[in-house]
Amino acid sequence: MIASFLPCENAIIFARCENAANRWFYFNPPPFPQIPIIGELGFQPSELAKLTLTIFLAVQLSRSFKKKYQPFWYYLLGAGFFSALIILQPNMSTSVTVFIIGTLMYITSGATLKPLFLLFPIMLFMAFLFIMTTPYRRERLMTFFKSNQTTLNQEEDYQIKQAKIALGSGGFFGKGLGQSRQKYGYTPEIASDATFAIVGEEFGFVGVSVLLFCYGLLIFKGLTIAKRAVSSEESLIAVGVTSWIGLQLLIHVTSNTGMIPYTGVTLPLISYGGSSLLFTLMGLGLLANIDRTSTE
Amino acid sequence: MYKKKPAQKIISISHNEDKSLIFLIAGFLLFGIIVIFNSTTVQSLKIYGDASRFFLYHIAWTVVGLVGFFITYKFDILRF
Repeated sequence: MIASFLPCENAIIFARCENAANRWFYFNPPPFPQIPIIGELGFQPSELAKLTLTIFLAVQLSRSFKKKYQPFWYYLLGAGFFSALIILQPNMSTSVTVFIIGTLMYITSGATLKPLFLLFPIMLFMAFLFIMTTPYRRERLMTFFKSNQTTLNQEEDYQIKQAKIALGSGGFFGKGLGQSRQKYGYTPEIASDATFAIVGEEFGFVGVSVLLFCYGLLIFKGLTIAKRAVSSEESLIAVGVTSWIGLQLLIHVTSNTGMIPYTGVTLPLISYGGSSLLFTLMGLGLLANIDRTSTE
Repeated sequence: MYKKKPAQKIISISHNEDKSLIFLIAGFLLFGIIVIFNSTTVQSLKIYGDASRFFLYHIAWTVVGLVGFFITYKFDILRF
């Protein structure tokens, strides 16, 4: 896992650099034999980090502490450690997601909130500094703020524009299943980063509304399980998994609708993305487990 | 600090397990499979010369994911 967080210059064959980022770990990279159908078997350690952090914080924050600020140090250790490793890949959106999941779990644990008031300005300043010192991130942010100007170079915000075209062309009822035009190569990473746009194009406003309603049900169910859980440990796990799903949904939808800078976050349970799907399902397995045990 | 609920509170509420979460997850997975099959055929054909490559890969990961789901659903991993 640590190997996949190595910077590109020190990348090893099991965690090679792709598109100037080091986000994958492969079990059988060349020259190792390929698996039929699948080929190279790899996963994103940052997805595993979400599950690990949720369990770690749930166990640690539900303990009894003698000192008032002890839970805060555990939170900072868990959320800070994983976020820092993920941002080194670099993968800012996942790093922010992981940090917010940890923060929401910390807040709901009932620990003192005072240190957060000091931590947040520092984190915001660091995030701003990180964006401004990375050329492609700075450009992406500028593109986001300039996206309504007609003089903009089309290449700069190509992905956002294509996602908006897809959503807009869907209209009220959509073009119908299989009628998407964007899948003919207009939108890059269509099955992972632009899934919501494709659903909007084919199923329209009605389809997208039904989909968001179903996600709302899932989140409501998760929070109900958290409230009904028999121990604080289980309650925190339910909060962690629910906020994980909710945050990913929020980032994916707002990114596809141009409300935040375009970023590659998958739509939970629907988008193409093996490790994302695997660890999301494992997290939901925990949620279903808590639901089952709390009603027995 | 968040206090653990006392053990005597852990009582049987209902023996009828609520399956709504399971059905909801199954619905999302099924919809995801349809969306992926529908949206990746062109790209898959262009990149691999096989229209169903992405789809099969997605199915394989869904099966692996369901195994992961079953493990965390059935076993109390917090006790390990």
